[in-house]
Amino acid sequence: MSYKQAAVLKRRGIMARLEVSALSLRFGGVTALRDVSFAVADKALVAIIGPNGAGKTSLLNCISGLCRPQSGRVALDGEDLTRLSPHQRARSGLSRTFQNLGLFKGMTVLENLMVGRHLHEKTGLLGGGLFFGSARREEIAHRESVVQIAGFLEIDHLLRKVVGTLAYGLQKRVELGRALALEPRLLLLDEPMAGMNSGEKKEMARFIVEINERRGTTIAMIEHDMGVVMGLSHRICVLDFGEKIADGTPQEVRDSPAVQAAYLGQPASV
Amino acid sequence: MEYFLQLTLNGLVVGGIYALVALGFVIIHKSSGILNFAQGEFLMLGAYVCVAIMTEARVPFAGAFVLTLLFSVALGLLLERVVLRPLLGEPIISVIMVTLGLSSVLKAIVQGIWGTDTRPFPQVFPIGPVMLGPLPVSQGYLWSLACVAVLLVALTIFFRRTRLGLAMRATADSQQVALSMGISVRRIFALSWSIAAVVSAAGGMLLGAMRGGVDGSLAFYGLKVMPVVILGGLDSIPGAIVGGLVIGVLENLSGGYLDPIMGGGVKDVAPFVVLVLILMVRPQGLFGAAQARRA
Repeated sequence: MSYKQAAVLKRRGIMARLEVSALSLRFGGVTALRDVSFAVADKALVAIIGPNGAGKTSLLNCISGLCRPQSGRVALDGEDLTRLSPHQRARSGLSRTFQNLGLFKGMTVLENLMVGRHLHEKTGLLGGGLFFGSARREEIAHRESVVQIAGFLEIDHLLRKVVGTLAYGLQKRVELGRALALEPRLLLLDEPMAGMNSGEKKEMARFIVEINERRGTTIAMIEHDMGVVMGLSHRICVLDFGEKIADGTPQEVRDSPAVQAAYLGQPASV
Repeated sequence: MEYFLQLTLNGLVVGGIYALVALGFVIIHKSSGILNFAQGEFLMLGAYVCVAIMTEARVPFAGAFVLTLLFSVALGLLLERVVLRPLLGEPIISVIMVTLGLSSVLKAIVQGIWGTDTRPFPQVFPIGPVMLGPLPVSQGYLWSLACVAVLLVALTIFFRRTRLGLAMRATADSQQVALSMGISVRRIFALSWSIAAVVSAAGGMLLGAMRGGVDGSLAFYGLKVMPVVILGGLDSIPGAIVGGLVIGVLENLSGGYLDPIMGGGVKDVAPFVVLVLILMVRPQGLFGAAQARRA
């Protein structure tokens, strides 16, 4: 869904899940993002692509709150998140993974996944400290939901393993599982397949599609592998030098002269 | 042999208290990177508050102990809100300097209210020694050891088994990732200051009770924490516990055997000699993670 379409839907009272409007981010004299607007429809799988340094991760950081843009607005289901801190945004339903893995390496897989349940845990300091009554029941419920996610991602046999000892591809899967444990309304994935071999990529792609289709989770992901991007995403948003140069279906993006120029260089003028 | 056992036991008792105070120090450093130089003053303040509650309000020791711990929770929350939160985002070194200032302020407050004379600590532990095999042991020491053990076990369970403990470990690992998981890092900082104040106050009260009096010299126990955490590793909780016990025993043994030969004072120097040696051989401490940096 393009920004204009989103605006039309909004006027009709239908809101996009995520709406980013006129976002600009500068680091000193360097402009990372200039006036970027895009929207993600409910239940969509949207890819953000662009050459290195195009501002993809900056955009993701602005959405999740780790970067504060100088201007612009981020809204989730119409709720303005722009002024909220990252942990408040997580509570509003945003969840993310990191390009270079943001796992707690010294903890077990189970503990990592349980951190993802943190914002759903209700018992207070004392209740959480003593395993009695409702606190105990709550703990068991959280553990079950985490085990269910681990089963879905086929890492349930690794729950007791320390994350730092696992193979890279499995660590990526644990991180995806932890992001799912938050039960997000919007899942942000920063290069979920970076550094993977083709077998691992295939498995990861299968998980992402299942999360999107079976669990109905809306996903925005940054990815470099064009085969993956073209095959999986419903829509693609292309950034180059901090500006959005295209936004549309995979076919539209593939045919866009601006995108071809950004990736392959300008055709020589005769 | 009996002399050796006696010294070792005394060392374990004092070392347990070092371990408590070091734990507070490590918790703050782990979660926020700050070295808290006011740790000894937390300890002293705890002891004074406990004495005040016992003598002015005539509350028995057990009650005063719990009330003082509650006071320390409040103190930790207050300090985080008033002193540290405005410094969020400032360089770590500035914050460390502020804790140095905080230590002077707390010392001045204590002296302003209670004066500089030693205040007697009411008798709380029975006087007579118990026989542990051939060894006569003061009951106060045993009680202190028991209190320390209970607190250390409780804190270990807190870190291993509770959601807040897990959130604290997550924050210590990476603040950005913890934030993205919906953890309020500021709340975790406040909690770590509260825990640090609580464990120090507990140590201060036990020391006061064993010594039979409280005075400004209690704050020096904050300095003793340095060799302990350097030995154990600045970011290791088991390291703080082991380091505390080792330094406590070492201090007593060296004092007991070397003081008569050297003419006194070895007890106070020995931990710092260890500190220097450790820094030369294994700067990250026994349990600390070695720092590798990209050039």
